[in-house]
Amino acid sequence: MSMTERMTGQFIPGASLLHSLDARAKLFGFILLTAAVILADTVAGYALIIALMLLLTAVSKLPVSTVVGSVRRMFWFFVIIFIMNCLFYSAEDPIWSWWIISLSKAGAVQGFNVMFRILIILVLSNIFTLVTPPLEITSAIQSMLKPLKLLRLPADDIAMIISVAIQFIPTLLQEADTIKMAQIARGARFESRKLHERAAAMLPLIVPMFLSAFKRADELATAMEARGYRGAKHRSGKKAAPMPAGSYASILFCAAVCAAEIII
Amino acid sequence: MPIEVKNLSFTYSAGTPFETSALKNISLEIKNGEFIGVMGHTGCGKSTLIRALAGLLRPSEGSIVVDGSDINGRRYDRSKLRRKLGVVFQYPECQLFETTVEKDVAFGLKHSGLNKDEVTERVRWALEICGFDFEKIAKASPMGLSGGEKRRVAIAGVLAVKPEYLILDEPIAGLDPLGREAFLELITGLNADGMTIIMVSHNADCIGEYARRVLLLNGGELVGDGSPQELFSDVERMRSLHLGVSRSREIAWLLKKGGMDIPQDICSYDRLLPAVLAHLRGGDEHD
Ligand SMILES: Nc1ncnc2c1ncn2[C@@H]1O[C@H](COP(=O)(O)OP(=O)(O)OP(=O)(O)O)[C@@H](O)[C@H]1O
Ligand SMILES: [Mg+2]
Repeated sequence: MSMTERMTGQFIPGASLLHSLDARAKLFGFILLTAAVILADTVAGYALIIALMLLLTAVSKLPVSTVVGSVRRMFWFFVIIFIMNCLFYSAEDPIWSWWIISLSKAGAVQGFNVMFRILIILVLSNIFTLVTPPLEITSAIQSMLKPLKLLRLPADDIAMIISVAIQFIPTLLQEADTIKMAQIARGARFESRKLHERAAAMLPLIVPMFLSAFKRADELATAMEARGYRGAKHRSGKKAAPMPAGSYASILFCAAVCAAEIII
Repeated sequence: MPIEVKNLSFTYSAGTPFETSALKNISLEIKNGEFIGVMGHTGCGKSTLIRALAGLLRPSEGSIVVDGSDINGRRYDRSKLRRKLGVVFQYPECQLFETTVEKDVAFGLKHSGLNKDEVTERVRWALEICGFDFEKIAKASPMGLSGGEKRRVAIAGVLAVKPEYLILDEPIAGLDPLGREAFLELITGLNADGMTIIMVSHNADCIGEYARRVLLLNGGELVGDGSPQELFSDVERMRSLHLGVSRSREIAWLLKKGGMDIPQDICSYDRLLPAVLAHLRGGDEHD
């Protein structure tokens, strides 16, 4: 992220159907659809997934450029994934091979599959976070983790940790950007073409980032203690509201897509 | 040679729902040796202007010409700009990262082409004008210093390059009154030696006392450019921009409102005091 761009996937307020759904339903639906994407392995399956993405984008009423924003910038990442999969897939009938490298049709298909899935899952998670406020995501994770309590795991504390982490990501990114600018102004060469210079140049960024992250964590812990936080189980958490019927319908819809992918 | 800013505009996150226009059509010229204060309400674009001047943001429109060359031109060598123009960001103490103070201050000299002795000499100079004893502090770890000391080390790191232009973003925020005064004396001294100073501050007192020219920003636009005397003369307008005037100016204004005949171009303490004294003495003589 650079100073001139917001973090991709950051919540954008809106009034679409997706915005109005219960965050728990959206999280559950997101997991089901991710499963569906991983299960998809036929042309028909891919077509269904693509149709679904188009539908979600249309229903979310978000600009297409925002939905695919981060994906576009990761173009080279996808190219590399594709090439790696192509070259290191050990097929029976390679077209050409040398040492551990081999080129085959199956490899190319595999490369495409992997690339396609990562791409779609990225877009999917992008849509999810674009239509759901971070705080709602946290409480949705919290209710998802509830069953862990049966295993005597500290579900509330885990949810708390996740929520703190989620809330700090934008702050830390912003800070990284500020520090980066300050070091550039001092003569750091992040944009240098020489590899060794670039590696060394990361130090002026990484050291202050760690220091400030620890300082923040320490301050937050002190503040929480000072305000009487003694583990999540002592909190009088408010009762979660029941999900509206529409949300159940959306989960059902996602489950149907998932089932369809298993069948085709 | 001066800095020329022509029709500068900048928009964050252009083309997304988060689009924020932070600078709008700003034109100004900064001459060598000036001491400029930049004031404006929170979020008016002060830091953005500084980032643009330092070549850290590419303007959406307009140009910035430093010493005759456009800093966003295709052929422009940015490392030249880094040596010419030092920037002290808000809370600069966050940028320290080396194991010793000496190394940290020397960081900006890495690509300067100075030899080892020259670098040490520069570091000594920078630390000493920032009020440190070089022998004592050089080998200390920056992490073990107090907040105020860290800030002075960070500033020494910027000064070590001996920039012609020094840009400071809220340098005195969070300093105690003594540290503040010492710091402003340091900056004034550098200015007297010919360094051009551009300082962002919320503190009208420090601008009124030290700056010789003030830039007022409001909502990304340049709404005032002149001496503190000129700009502070209209106290009501300053208030409408959510800004205060220096306390000396406010005292002169209140005294005038209360019926006392005091010049209204007073912004600093060292002019207020004689004026009030003269008036009181004059009053005595009449009685
Ligand atoms: N990285 C960013 N992405 C998007 N918008 C930003 C970013 N940084 C600043 N802005 C917006 O640009 C505008 C100007 O910000 P800027 O930081 O320049 O203000 P400022 O005058 O320095 O404020 P302050 O006195 O609080 O430091 C604000 O509306 C701010 O919300
Ligand atoms: Mg600022």
